[in-house]
Amino acid sequence: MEINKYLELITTYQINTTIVALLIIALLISSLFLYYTNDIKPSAIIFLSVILVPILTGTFLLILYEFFNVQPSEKHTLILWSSLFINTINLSTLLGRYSKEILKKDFDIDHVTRYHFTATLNLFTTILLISFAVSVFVDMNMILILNLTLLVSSIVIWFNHLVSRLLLKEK
Amino acid sequence: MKSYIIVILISALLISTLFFALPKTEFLVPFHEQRFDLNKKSENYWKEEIVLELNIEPKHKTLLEGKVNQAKNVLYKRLQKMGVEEIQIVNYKPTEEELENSIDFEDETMLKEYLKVIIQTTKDQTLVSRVITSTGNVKIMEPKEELKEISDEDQLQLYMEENYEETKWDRSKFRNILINDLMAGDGERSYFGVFKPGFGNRREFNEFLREREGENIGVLMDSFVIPMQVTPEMTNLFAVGIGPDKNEAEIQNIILNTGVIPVKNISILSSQQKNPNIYEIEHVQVILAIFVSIISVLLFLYQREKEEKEKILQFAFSLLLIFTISLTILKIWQIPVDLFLLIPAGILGTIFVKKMYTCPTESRIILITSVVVSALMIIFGTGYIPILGNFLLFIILISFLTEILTKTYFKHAKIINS
Repeated sequence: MEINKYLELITTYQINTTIVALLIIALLISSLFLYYTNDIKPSAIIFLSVILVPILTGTFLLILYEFFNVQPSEKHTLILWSSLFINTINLSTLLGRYSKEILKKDFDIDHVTRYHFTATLNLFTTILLISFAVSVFVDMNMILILNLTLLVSSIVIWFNHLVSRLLLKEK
Repeated sequence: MKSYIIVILISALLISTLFFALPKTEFLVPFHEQRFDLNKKSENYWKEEIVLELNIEPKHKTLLEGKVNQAKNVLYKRLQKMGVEEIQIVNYKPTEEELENSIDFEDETMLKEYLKVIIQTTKDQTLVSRVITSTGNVKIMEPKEELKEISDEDQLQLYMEENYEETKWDRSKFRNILINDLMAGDGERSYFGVFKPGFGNRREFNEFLREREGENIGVLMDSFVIPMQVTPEMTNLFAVGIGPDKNEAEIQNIILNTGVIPVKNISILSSQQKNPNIYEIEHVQVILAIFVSIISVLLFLYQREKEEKEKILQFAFSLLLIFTISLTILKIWQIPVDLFLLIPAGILGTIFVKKMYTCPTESRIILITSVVVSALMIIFGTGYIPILGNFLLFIILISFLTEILTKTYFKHAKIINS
């Protein structure tokens, strides 16, 4: 796979602005986590979760361009930003519950994991339902964008859930 | 009585905005001259492949790759600031046929590099061409001796670069050139570029102006020199006239404040019109897609989450109001819209509103982070992303209004029923 061929299509200005935006989002949510929980580990994982979105989007797009003959387009940046938006909403839900529970004296791990599991499952089912419902009415190009967004955001929100669960079990 | 009035007013708002939001409703109203269909951008798109020739001075030979990359970045930044929807800038090797159009410089040692710029946009084609062919450099110059004895018939010589000598004052010495509308000498308002010297350069620049008080100097912009006489006031405000046209002022602002392309000259080697690549989607499809997705989310909420019926109804009412009000605003104000973007905006908006209703304890954090991500889309996004960010911020803003309206509606409907 010739990654350089695709990297040539992007200017360093585009890469830099995207990196700055990602860092701001990652730092904002991580510092909120750190502020509310006073725990460095989940904050670091949250940082990773935000960074995971462009990595996954880039990987899936490269596979599509290389093996499925899809033409690169500026419209594909919609996948990255839509997945980031969904991931941010999921992380905010986790943050709200996690911080509220972790500071309690009779801290209940199951409460947090159950709540976040339900929230994640609901979010996953919602985006699945919406993507499939919308796919009936739009053309192939939009279906590609919608389903890749679904795939990336699903992986990331389940990653958030599993990692937070592991971290909580350690406590 | 008060409850009846409130319920009737909110119902009327919902019904009227629903009427406006639905497709083809413009045919149902008696005044056909008044257009209120969605203003689709897809009809105004054009696509062009432009090959640019960059003439680079030989002294930059060792830094050629860096200079070309810098040129790509500045060009991208300018087009993005202009609001161009799709931009692709790649290095290019021209064909023999294309090279026949190449402009030969007197200095044959000039290095030539080529870039292919692929643009798909609804913006003005001539303005786009101007933005990509200007280097953005500005130089303050001094007239050569022979220019001082110029006859009245040969006034054109005043504007030619070759009749001036360079000074050390170029764009790099100024932190920015602020475009502002000021009162011109004739009493009319006009746009001016106010030169702001960089930190540490102000005193030296004022000295430079003071030494030349009463003399003529020239400001080189876009390959033409603007001649001007140095006056004592210039030490406070050094401004160059741009003219009364707002569009011209905006274009100059983009060219002068997005960086200098480090080349001697840029020219268009060839250009080719292409068919724009647009995701064809109809207004009916957008409405159906959003409607079906809302229904499926509501059914899911009812089945899976066992939420209270009233909460689900409130959520549905609120969503319906958000989408009908948004589409009505788009239609009435004739805001140009990319129809395909309404779908991701609708999906993300639905997810946001659903979370606000189903996770009320976390709603404050969800709201803060969603607003931040939408704002970052507008500031740092490229291509269509700032447009999506605007849609999302708009939906978040409207959701406040609809939440108040929904709660009021349900409260007063309950009073009527009891």
